[in-house]
Amino acid sequence: MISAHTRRSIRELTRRKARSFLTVLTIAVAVAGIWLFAIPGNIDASLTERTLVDGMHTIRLAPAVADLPEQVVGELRTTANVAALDVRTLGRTQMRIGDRPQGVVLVGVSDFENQAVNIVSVVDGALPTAAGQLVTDFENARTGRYNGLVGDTVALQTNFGNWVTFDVTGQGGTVRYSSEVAEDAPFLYLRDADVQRVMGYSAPNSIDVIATDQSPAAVGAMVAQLRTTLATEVSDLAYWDVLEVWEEGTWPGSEDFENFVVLFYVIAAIALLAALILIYTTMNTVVREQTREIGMMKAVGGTRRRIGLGYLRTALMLGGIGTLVGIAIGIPLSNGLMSFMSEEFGGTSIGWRLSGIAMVLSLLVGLGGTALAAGPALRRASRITVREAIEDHGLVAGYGLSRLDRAVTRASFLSRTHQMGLRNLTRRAGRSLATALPIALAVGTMLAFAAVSITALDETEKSQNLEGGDIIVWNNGARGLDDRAVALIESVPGVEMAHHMIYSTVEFDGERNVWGLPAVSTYEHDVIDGRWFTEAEAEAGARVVVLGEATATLTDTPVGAVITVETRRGPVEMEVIGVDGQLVNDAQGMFTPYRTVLDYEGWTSGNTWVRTTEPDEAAVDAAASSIHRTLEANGYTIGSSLRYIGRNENAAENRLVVTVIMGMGLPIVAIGMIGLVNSMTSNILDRTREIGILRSIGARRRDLRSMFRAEGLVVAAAGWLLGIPIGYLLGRLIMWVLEHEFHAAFTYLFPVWPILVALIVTMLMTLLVLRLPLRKVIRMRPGDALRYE
Amino acid sequence: MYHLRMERVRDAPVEETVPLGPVIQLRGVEKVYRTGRVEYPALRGVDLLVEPGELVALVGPSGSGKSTILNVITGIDRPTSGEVVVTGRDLVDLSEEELAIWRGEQVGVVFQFFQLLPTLTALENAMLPLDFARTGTVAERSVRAQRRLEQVGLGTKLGNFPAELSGGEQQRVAIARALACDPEVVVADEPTGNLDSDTAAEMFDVFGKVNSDGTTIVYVTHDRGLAAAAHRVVEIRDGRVSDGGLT
Repeated sequence: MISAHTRRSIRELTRRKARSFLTVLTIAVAVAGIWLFAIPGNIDASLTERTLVDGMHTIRLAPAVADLPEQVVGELRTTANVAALDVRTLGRTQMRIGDRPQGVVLVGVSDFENQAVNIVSVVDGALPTAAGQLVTDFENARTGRYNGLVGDTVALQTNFGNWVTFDVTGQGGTVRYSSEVAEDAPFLYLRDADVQRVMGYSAPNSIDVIATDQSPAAVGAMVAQLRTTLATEVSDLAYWDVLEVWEEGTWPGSEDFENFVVLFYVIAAIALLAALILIYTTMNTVVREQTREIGMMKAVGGTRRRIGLGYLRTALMLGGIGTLVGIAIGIPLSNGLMSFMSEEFGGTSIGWRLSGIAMVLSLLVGLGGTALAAGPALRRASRITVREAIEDHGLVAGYGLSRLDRAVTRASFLSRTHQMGLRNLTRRAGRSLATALPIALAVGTMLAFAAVSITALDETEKSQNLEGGDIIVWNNGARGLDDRAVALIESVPGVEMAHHMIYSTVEFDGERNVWGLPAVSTYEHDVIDGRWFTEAEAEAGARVVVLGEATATLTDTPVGAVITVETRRGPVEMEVIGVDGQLVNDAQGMFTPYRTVLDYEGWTSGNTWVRTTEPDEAAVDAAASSIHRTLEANGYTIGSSLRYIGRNENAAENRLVVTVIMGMGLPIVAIGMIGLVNSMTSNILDRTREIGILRSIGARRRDLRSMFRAEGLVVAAAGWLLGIPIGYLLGRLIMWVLEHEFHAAFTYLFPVWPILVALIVTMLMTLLVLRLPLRKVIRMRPGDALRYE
Repeated sequence: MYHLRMERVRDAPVEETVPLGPVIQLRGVEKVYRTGRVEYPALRGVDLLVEPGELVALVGPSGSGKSTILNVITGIDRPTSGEVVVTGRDLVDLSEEELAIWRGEQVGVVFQFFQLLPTLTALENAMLPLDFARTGTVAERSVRAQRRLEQVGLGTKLGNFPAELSGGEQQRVAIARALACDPEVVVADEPTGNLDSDTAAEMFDVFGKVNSDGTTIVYVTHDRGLAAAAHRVVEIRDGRVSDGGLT
């Protein structure tokens, strides 16, 4: 047997079904939003786990050797601290997609049956069991780089210039290389011997090692031992590549993801704030509506405490249902986003995960937050005297006494119904503000994300355009791309400019990309300190270097300093002559004369960058074909990649990221809109008698519609207006964080068009969400409305 | 004999009329309120005829069905059965929207608790029915509403909000609002119920003047004195007209 007081609390839930539904929905969205907090941790945990399952290497050594006998490999495996070691051959060549040549990375696997490091597994089909078979990375198809399926054949160009075909037996990958597909090229997994056959190599060029103790000191000792063994056992060891080291707990893409995590927490925090405001407003209205009942309960002996506890019980029941619904929405929502993001950043899909922290937070916010949010309204209600409560008729007296009320009455240019709508907003200014705030947060978040995305896209596009080249040509055969090759390319119709270029990697306070360029190139540098290198320095291969802005900042290196960089052939001293302000390589690269790189790397030639006279895709395709024909006719075997493909892929990738960012803002928008529906429904319930009076004195449906619509639109417009400065400041804050992450300055863009789009979207969504409460208004019969209690 | 106005021209007093009979005809009207599984018969076969220009008082104990009769006359509530013809229109046939338009043009309603809109000034409250009826231009509506407010003695308080008016003044605004569209019929549900006796008497003077201009008025009252001032007193008891329903 339960008391009448408790029964009242329970029946309260079904008494106003629409209100209960909206309250539950509000709490549910708030709780679901909390699950956004779970995403970064879950992605990190899942991908870290995935690196363990895939046996991702701790370090990768790249020795250039003519031969690496099996017995030496065996000896390397016995080195102290080596948990697992595999050798493989990596190569970069061309594949044919239709008639178009496409750069491709080949990853060799010594024995598909017995893999220990960077284990390639398949999600469809089977691993290669014979020569002439390969596995295509599943990211190739997802990123649109190569859509081949099991059963297809792939044509690969050998370093002798001829083409050989392979059968696709499976789709799969391994976390280390899958993560590269989106940013680099398609990845294909072949038997190691097949890679060597295509590339013309005689020995593996990569040693992948997992260390037992992954502390820097232990890994350093292990590397030293591996070097010694190789130097002793392999007579023709030419040089060492710079080490690739993965610290424990990191995964490919984890660094980029960390930058993104900031946005996640910002979104989640705003969603939480918006939801708490909304819960507060809702509970306030729920209690406010029952002022008369509170008076009656007091009149029949209800104490403040008893009445307060009764409403608290109702609030907790609403909170409980909302929490359950929110968790039910939050888990699939966070897992869906998580899966998408792990593919974006980690290049791999992950399974569903729950989060204990998110679960605890959900309960805290859903139950505790609701109880807390109801607190002030309950306190206020409990202070109402019996007389005040019983005299309450839902109509607010005292309108027109404040300055705001008076100011609003001056809007005489509006129709009467619009005037009434507007005045009703100031009549309940607190509630109007509380409704506008979540909308403002939603608009602000979307504007901030739009600004950050636009700024990022602009910076990316700028840095891509800076490179200036339309085609990259590289040597795929025995004969390097010498000065004659460059001259031949320049003679091809449709080519405006061609020049040598080489990429290199060095150690200078971390691994850094070096671009070897001539003094004048297609790269449009922006020297913000010091100078660029001269023709004479470029010709002489002078040891001078221009640092990317972030490199200079991070390493605290001034212009004029002489730095020592670790190349694969040993340390090299260079004089820093300038700092470049462009964002290529995230401003963390270095620029030096082409001949300087050839000199310290011991190479004889590099790649060629080509700028065509016309940038359109057809012209670039035509020029690339002509370059291939011309150079091949002159004894060069080349590969090429077309920049527009990468640019388009990048643009598609960026658009996707922007969509995700916008998508993550949706819970906040949802909260804003639910707030609006909630507020409008409360308004209608509050003013039911007023609606009855209006209908009694001749108000038509369109009059009522116009009045309530005006109210909704004005609140939404106020939210939009408030959202603009919020969006600007939030965007600035995010950019500030990103600038610190990237150690580079961005030109913050806050264009007008997203503001206008936000206005249109806000208004349209408002009209949409108002449909339901408006239906209630126009269907209300005047007699029922007048009798409404 | 009731004369139906065939054409209403903006601010044009000249009307072509056709003799039709009583302005209000209720025949065998029943009204049952249903709340969940509970049924409450509020009217049990009411017959009531009111001639144009009559001043009729409805009296009876609380819960007898007086207010329900007013609601049925104004179309605010629909009868469960029976015939309701007011100002020549069969209300049973009209949709909610048509009823709202009809009320705005032909019926003025005065409520017990004034029920002014707190966000509108006295003038704006009085203009509201004219706005809803789209009568004339905004300036013309303002002039007409102003005239009505002057008629009820509130010419100096046009810009005041309800919160700035006394109870009597608020009820006068409510009457001005009810009269704004020059309705054929004014119904008032205990219009003086919340007023002191002096203010109530003043209020009733206003009704008297309006009625002397030809407007039919039906009002509910508990006050014997005010009921006595009517041309006819109709007594309602247990949802039936116990006395004076038919002229």
